[in-house]
Amino acid sequence: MTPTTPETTTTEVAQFVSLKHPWRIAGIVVVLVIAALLLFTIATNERFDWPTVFSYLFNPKIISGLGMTVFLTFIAMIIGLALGVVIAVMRTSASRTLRWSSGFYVWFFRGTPVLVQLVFWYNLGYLVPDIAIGIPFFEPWFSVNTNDVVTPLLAAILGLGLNEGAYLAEIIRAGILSVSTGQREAATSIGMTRFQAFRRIILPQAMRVIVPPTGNETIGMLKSTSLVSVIALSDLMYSAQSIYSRTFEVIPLLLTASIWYLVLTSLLSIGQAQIEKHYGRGATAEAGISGRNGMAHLLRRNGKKA
Amino acid sequence: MTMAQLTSQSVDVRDVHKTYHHNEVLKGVSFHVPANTVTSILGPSGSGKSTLLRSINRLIPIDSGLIRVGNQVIGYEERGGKYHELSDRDLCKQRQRIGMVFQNFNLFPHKTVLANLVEGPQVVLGRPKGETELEARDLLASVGLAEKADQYPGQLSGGQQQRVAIARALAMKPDLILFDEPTSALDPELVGEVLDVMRRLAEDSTTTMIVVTHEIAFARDVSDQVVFMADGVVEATGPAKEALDSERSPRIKSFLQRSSR
Repeated sequence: MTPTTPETTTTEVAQFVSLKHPWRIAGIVVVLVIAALLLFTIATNERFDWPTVFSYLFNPKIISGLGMTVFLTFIAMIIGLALGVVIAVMRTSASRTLRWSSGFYVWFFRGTPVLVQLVFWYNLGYLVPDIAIGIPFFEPWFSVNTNDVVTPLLAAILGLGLNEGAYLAEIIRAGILSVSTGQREAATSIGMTRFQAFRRIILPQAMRVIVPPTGNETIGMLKSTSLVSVIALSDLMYSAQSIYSRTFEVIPLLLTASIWYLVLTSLLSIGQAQIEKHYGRGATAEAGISGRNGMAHLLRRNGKKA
Repeated sequence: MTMAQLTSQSVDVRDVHKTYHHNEVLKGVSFHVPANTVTSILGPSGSGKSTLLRSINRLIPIDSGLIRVGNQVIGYEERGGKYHELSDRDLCKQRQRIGMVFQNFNLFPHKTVLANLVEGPQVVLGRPKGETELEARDLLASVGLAEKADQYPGQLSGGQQQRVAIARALAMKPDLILFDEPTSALDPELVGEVLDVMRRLAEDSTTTMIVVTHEIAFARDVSDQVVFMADGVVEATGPAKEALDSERSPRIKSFLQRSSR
């Protein structure tokens, strides 16, 4: 036993005083004042014409346009994801042919504006009047008029999906590269095939890196679908335009459309948070940074060590 | 305490060469590991130990030479006097019989401890859930981690993770287990628990073990044979006492001196 001074042996509980943050309070006041002014203006300025905005909210034309927007976003993301996985795997392949061809795909589809791609697919019939299947230079087994096949809807799906595939390929590739080589070795050492290792070990871990930017892409896609109005496909934006071109209520209808876009992006954000939570298993427990379980674990571990 | 009942196979390494980017890492390595024995591979870092170990389950393909586990040539099939390279699928069948424990554990972080153990038996071998989970729980108990079954690897200490990794290798009931510096990434106070599990495995089970290690004491006490590698060749091989204690090689002498510090 070393001799101790009486001060340190007393059981008195030490008193702590937290640091004060006066500027935080000032910041809160400023934000509240600005928010109040904004709300007041928006609510009282009659030119916003809120009654008209809300009267169109459930207009059948707007609702069917909304349906088209949701459908296009969904189908283009599905195509983009499927293509993205294939292209990403090709880009990380040992085969030079696969690496280069997938590299070319990404270079081309990421390098040209999606608006151009949409118009291009829409006008495919101009370049290629007939689509035929058969042996070159011989009578085709099967032939159709391009304009009958490539409807505005298919052109939109192709344009948006192929473009998205290029972006998602890069995101998925980054995800694959983020998983340590030891994981592939471990999977291989228990006898997994390359496909099994990818599907069960590599991809689920890559998802943690893939999901956040893919959520971003989905929200971007939701808004990119408004470009299909140039090929006369009646999505949410096109529906709003077609109404205000008749009634000249431009601002109110753009507000109506914006409200729906905000509703959809909010829903997508909630969904993204759920998916992130799912793929954070194991990782969040380790870092102890996110979620109640992570914190509880951190506290428990510290308690044990003490 | 019994570990899983395992079969075992001999390993025969014959004149193995491997070059990386003009750097010859293995310059004709040969040695034999009888079935049901423990072999430690020692040597300074950069001597090719890990490359050699990884070539035994063909995580690294070799340039020339032959590696046999039991009567099978790794990576090839003997047909009509020629060695035909195996397809990915057939190679995976060979690897199912060879377990591996890594320096950095390499547990699957997104799966619970139990899920780590049953992944191979269920997905690779297609065995039923109930039976593989029972076996996995027994294995966890045998490495002293029965109560950790439902935790994630990130919640365990390094020593516990490595014991899980050993149990994961055992869950496949391999004929041979390769250990790649299993204690090198551990805090000193955690080395003992992993070595204990390995020692028990060597004593209680019949599996063949090849251990790349820096733990001289472990190599001396547990292994039937020591292979000392330096500069891509086998410098000495034999029973632990003879290979390490005969001071015929200055390289072995200086290695032992440095390791004992």
